[in-house]
Amino acid sequence: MLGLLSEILEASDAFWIVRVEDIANEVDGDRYFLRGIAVKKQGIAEIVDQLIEEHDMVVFVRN
Amino acid sequence: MTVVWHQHPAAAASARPPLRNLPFVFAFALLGLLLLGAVGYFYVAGWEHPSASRWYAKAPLPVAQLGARTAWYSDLSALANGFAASEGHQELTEDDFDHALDLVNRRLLIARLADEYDVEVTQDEVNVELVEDDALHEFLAEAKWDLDAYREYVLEPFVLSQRVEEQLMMDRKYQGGALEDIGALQAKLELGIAFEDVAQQYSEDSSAQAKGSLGYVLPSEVDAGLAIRNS
Repeated sequence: MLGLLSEILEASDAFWIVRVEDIANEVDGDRYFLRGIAVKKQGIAEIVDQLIEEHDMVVFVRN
Repeated sequence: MTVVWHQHPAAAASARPPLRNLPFVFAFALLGLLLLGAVGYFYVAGWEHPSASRWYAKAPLPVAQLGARTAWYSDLSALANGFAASEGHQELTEDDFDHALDLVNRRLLIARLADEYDVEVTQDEVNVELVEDDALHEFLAEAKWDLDAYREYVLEPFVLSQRVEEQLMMDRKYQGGALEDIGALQAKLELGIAFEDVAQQYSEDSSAQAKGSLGYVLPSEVDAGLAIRNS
């Protein structure tokens, strides 16, 4: 298990790849020493930016 | 032989003299012209600040449309007032209207996404976000808003955006770019590039500074934090 790479994992706000580097046996259970790489998911602001470019919004007023 | 044509009695009873409809025709034509004139004014003269204080700030004039959803000039005007108040200047500027129009368009899109995900916001959820203090009342006075307007233009869109964002975050349709990026990093690791180096250079978590170190964690903490779900 040590040194193994995870698959792509999904958290609420990011995708992760983690690697188990060490396991410590504690009284309340094993603890894993992890290293991780995260890529943040797109938030609503970025998605709306993209959608505004893609959609034909009809705007009736202008300068 | 003389043929005399008779109108059927029922048809004769239902037939109106044509002139009886004329006042309605004129009224509708006048109404249409007024509406056309008002919309035309916005095209020709623009919607700079003097407009916002006039009677037609409340008129049901459309400013933007997306599918079946329409945003109205009254909303644009109210939001422009809100921007002016938040910037702390009395006079409305074109920038206030530009920002307001941008926000109106974004909210149309978010409302459409909310429809897509069946997301609705209750008044209780909105009221939870309401914090009444002196600063808020000062802002309301400057924006010429009451609390209902504040709920409508600030709190409700804020809560709706949060709910929609939760859905967007879990929707692979909108997360394709992030998935591609993490896939590319996975490929780097498979090529043998050191995990620490990839983490330090590319990870978007604060742990990147520590070469991706997340420390010692319990499996339950990993499950809760990552909500592990293999892709």
